[in-house]
Amino acid sequence: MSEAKSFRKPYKRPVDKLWWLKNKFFTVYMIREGTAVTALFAALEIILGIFLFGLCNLDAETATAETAAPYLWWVQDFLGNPLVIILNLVCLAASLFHAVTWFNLMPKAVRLFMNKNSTELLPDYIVKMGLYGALAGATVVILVFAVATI
Amino acid sequence: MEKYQADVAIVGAGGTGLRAAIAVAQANPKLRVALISKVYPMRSHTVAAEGGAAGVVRDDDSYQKHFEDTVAGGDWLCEQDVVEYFVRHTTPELYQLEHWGCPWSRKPDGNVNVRRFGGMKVPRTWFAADKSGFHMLHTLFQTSVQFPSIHRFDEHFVLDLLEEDGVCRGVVCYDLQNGVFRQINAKCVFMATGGAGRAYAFNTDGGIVTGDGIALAYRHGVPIRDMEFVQYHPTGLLGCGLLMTEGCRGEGGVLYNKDHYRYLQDYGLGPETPVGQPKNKYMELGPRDRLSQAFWNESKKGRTFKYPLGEAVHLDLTHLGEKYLHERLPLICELAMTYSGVDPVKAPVPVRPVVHYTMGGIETNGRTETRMPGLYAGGECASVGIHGANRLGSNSLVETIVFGKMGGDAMAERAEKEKDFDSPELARQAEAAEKRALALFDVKGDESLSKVRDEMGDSMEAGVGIYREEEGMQKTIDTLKALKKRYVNIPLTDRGRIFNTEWMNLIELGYTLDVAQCMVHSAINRKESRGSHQRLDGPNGAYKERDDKNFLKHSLAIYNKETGLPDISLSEVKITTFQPAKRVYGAEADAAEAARKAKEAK
Amino acid sequence: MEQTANNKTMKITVLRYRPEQDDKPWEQTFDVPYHHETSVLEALFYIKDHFEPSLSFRWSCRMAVCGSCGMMVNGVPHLACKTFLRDYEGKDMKIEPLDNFPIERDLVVDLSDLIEKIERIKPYIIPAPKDRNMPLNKSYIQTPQQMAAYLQFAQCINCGCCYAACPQYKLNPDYIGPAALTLLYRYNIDNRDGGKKLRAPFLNEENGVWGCTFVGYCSEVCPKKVDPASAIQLGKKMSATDFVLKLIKPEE
Repeated sequence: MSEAKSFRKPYKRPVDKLWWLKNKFFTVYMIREGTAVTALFAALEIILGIFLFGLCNLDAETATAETAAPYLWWVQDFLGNPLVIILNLVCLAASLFHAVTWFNLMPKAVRLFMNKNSTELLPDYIVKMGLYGALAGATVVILVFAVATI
Repeated sequence: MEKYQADVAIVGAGGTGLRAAIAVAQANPKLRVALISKVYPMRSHTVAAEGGAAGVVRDDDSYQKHFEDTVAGGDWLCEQDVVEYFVRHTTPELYQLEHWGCPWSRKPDGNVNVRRFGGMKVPRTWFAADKSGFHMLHTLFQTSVQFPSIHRFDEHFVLDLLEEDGVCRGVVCYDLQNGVFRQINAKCVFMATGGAGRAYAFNTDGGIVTGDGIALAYRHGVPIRDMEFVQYHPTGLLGCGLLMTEGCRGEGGVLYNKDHYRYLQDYGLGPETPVGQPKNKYMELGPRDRLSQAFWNESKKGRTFKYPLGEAVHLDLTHLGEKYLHERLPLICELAMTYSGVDPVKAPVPVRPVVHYTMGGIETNGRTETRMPGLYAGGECASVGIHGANRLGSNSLVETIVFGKMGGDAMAERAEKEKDFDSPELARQAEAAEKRALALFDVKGDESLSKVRDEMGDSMEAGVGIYREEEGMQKTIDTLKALKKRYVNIPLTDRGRIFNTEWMNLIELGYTLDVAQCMVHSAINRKESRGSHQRLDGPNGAYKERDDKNFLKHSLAIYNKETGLPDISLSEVKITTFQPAKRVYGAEADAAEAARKAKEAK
Repeated sequence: MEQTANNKTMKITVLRYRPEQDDKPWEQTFDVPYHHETSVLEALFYIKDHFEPSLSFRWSCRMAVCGSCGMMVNGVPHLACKTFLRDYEGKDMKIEPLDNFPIERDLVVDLSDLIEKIERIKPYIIPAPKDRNMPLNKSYIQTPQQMAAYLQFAQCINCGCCYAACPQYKLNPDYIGPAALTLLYRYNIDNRDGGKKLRAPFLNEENGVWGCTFVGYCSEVCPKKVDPASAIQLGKKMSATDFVLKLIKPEE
């Protein structure tokens, strides 16, 4: 509305840079968002491994310590480094944290009725169970694959 | 002062105001509608209505039955021609809301479902779970935003009507957010400001239900009709007074006294119907006035529960089961849990009667026109003539839309004929209203707003409650007179212009005091018992009975400038086809009906 | 309601701001007696009636349905009428105006942005061409399940608590926000509606559903359990599906 005259003087509260520390819910959210950093680390780590694998002499008839030296360095010296082990454990914890908090939210994005005529919705725990099932399944497949390739 | 030229000014943006605004916008998109409300529209108290809205749809129902229920329910103090119009227009209006998106509860086949309600012979109450008012109001508000010709003045508080040569020409209001005054000129002004339940201490109403529109019209000499009829809803939550909808009983809820006895059978509403098998117009499905009066008598007999917060009876819903309750009465479950700590699924809810509705209001004809040309009224603030001495549950929600639409159409017609009007006189009046409002800042007294307000509420409960006596009413008259004297000595501590709620509350209290006076003066003059107006006195208790000879008439309260009090007179009631008879419920009603049919057959 | 026996008192701090006198908000503390049923709203009544008549706040229905009394209680958005002092026993209480909105006066915030957004997203049934002249003697057919699909999202009372809880709205006031997007989705999935296309611009834009990062706090604080976070995620699905469908089958 056009104001011929107004006594208004609304006060806009400044946005505190640390707003996300003021409320536990926001802090958890920011940590969840922060897990992107650990995910980035894990991705770079794998890219490094693939890159170093590419540096190996792949034309050699048999893989020796010499021909596979770059990859072996990645496996033994890099991944074996205590600092990297700790970082990887942090990554594991972070991705589990992300999974748990994300799975808690996911039922909101699923809205299915129990059957054709029902007005009852599929309960949240079924969606969550599905997600945890998928997580467990993927973990098992990857572990089996990893063990098989050793 | 800023001025706005409108074709139609609507004061109040609840169910009635919004429906009227939409009607004007649809009738002629060129008409400028000013929709003025002291709150955002969705805060209006329509939002709190729970049970539903009546409209004939079932094959075993008819307009005639709805008409008879309404007129008998109102103890024959209804304008029968208006009721005839009303019952024929409820259903189309309810379908209209359905088309606009209102989520009326459905039957499994996808058609609209209806529920039982007190005083209604056939189930005909449309409901949106137990949030019918909420869904109606939001549907209307959301629908209204598509009409560019509706110019909303949200959080604008109306201070006075503008009037020249006896014609209503607009309003002057205070914009809470900007702290400025606005003059709004209009060819028609529609009052849709709701009731005045806040005149009483214990009520179901929101803080905004202060009778503003009634007082504004009253101060301009417009007759205020049937104000003695104030509805006590029989089932309010103990303590806070929040409403436990009549839908609770419609769905099968029952009332017990402290001896676990369904006491309503002692008050002409029996015989007792089996729990879980509610029967229309029997027991718990009797009308509200009778049920509230029964409570009063139980209390006198010492058969109510005594809680720290007061006396109560038990509303038992436990037999309905969790699934059904959560589907049909979710808000009731939430309210009882939150405000009483009782889960209706598991335990009965302590309830007692509580002031709920103002049957009377600004006198209008069937077209919502008042006696002042240009001034219209609809909804709870109006007395269009359908509720008589007692309103039936679910007639008022539908009244808002039927007479909102009617008012909108009537105003559009007038606005198309009239020319824009402005004059120095209107500006003078607007400035005078501003000055009067600002003068409240200069009061130097030692009275307290909250004390005057609370004493008014207590005095109204004491003098013009469920049962009334001359002596008590006279005492309330005297108290109100004294309170009005004290009112002018209430100082304001808040000197600000922005959102000065203390200032607004003070002006509201002035409105409510006027309306309270209309109520008690009308009541003391009605020397009979009818509907919600029940007296215990008179020579040999003569006023305990209905007296059609002298009082089958409306009361009119007209402001007397000399005395500052209402002059009370009587006016005729329009009776078309349904002659007054004894008002009966339960088995007695069935017997009377059978007798009437037998007589007609001869 | 007057206080009954068994009185305790609580220290309540209220944020005050009087635009004509103050440059910035300040705090005022009161000792408020309370009993088991005292709500924050009733505590404010007590303060206004007994200590500070100039304290301004919005309220009306007292029963959590009009949506007037949203405010921050100890940093969390609540309806004052549905929050009870008993749940803060042994603690102090701090009442502030709803976060993320400009303070107009004391506990009253400027809600015009929220209202404008609700109006913007076309919150009404836009009938499909075949339904435009539906007579007033019949209703649409809507099964209980078709109604249940949107009914929860139609329970919003426009109190603004979700906006006060939304970090995205805090950081980007142009974001359409939880309540308005929920309402948009509510109408889009109502089987009586045919206006999805007209609402698509608001749904799909950067400040529409894609402005949400799924914090989920809006649903946590919603006093009516509307679950706006759910509506918005479902809205993202709708928006993404529309995008893919348009790629496959472009239309005019």
